[in-house]
Amino acid sequence: MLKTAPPPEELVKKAEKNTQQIKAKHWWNISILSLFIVFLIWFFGYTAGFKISQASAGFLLMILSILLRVVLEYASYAGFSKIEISKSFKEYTEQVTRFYLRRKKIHYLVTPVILLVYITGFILLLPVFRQHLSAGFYTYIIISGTVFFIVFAWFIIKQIKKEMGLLFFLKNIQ
Amino acid sequence: MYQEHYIKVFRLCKGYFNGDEDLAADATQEIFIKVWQNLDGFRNESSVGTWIYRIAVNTCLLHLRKPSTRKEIKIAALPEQEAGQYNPQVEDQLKKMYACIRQLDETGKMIILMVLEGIDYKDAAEVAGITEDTLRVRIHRIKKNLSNCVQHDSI
Repeated sequence: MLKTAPPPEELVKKAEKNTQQIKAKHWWNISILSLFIVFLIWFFGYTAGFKISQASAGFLLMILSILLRVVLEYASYAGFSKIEISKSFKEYTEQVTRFYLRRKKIHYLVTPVILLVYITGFILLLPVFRQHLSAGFYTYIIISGTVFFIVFAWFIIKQIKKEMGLLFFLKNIQ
Repeated sequence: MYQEHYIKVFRLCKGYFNGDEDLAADATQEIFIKVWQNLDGFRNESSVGTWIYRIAVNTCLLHLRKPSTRKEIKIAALPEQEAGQYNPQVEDQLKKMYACIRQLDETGKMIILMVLEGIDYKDAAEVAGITEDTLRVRIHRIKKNLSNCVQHDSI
């Protein structure tokens, strides 16, 4: 049985470390998003003089779908961190429930579109790969692309299940 | 402030996590990290204690979702008794009581744990976000349910 509190200095150290980690994660996310945006600007500049080919359109669709997913996740994370933890239990539960209801809309409306756009981009790229790559490498791309998609979709489904479970739990409290 | 509230918050968390001291210690640490990070947001509208308890119950709420927090109550987690005062009947009733608290809904559990911790009704109502009158009514119902449960093994 814990009889005394750990020294406050230890806690302050941990709190400072935790704050730094949150800030680092925030800047890391901003950096990745900025890099994506720079890449997109470059891509549009590079292809401005040409008619956009099927391959570049496919590539762009895949990048855009992942970018949209990252932006949504980041915006959600920012929204969650704005919920004040020091509100009363009732208010906090209501706010967290509203947050997960918004997430539910994203999961059921936006996520399928993101997955469809990603698959479309991949399919658009396939004829170009078949034309320019060896049969073995082409097969490798189909298999690795499919595996990546399955893993990507599995993670999303797992996250959706977890969040919907939490939403059910919160609704029961109210 | 830290020394004064740490053990109380720890005991509250322990009640939430069915007596699991490791989970309670982790949650308590997380709560005080949040307290430290949110100090600027404390506006003197309530006492520091009430403010800390709000952060505590809200943090525990999200921890509760994890399956690891829903384990059975450990015997070691029950209030300690002097060896000479051991009474199997009291021990059995205590075990039953804690098992019954575990069956309450989350709000009920949060309220009764604050009551057991000796938190004023006024502060407990503020933490829960309900009026003092509503809190009294809920406590009355919870006590009735707990008493039924201890006697008949069901809420």
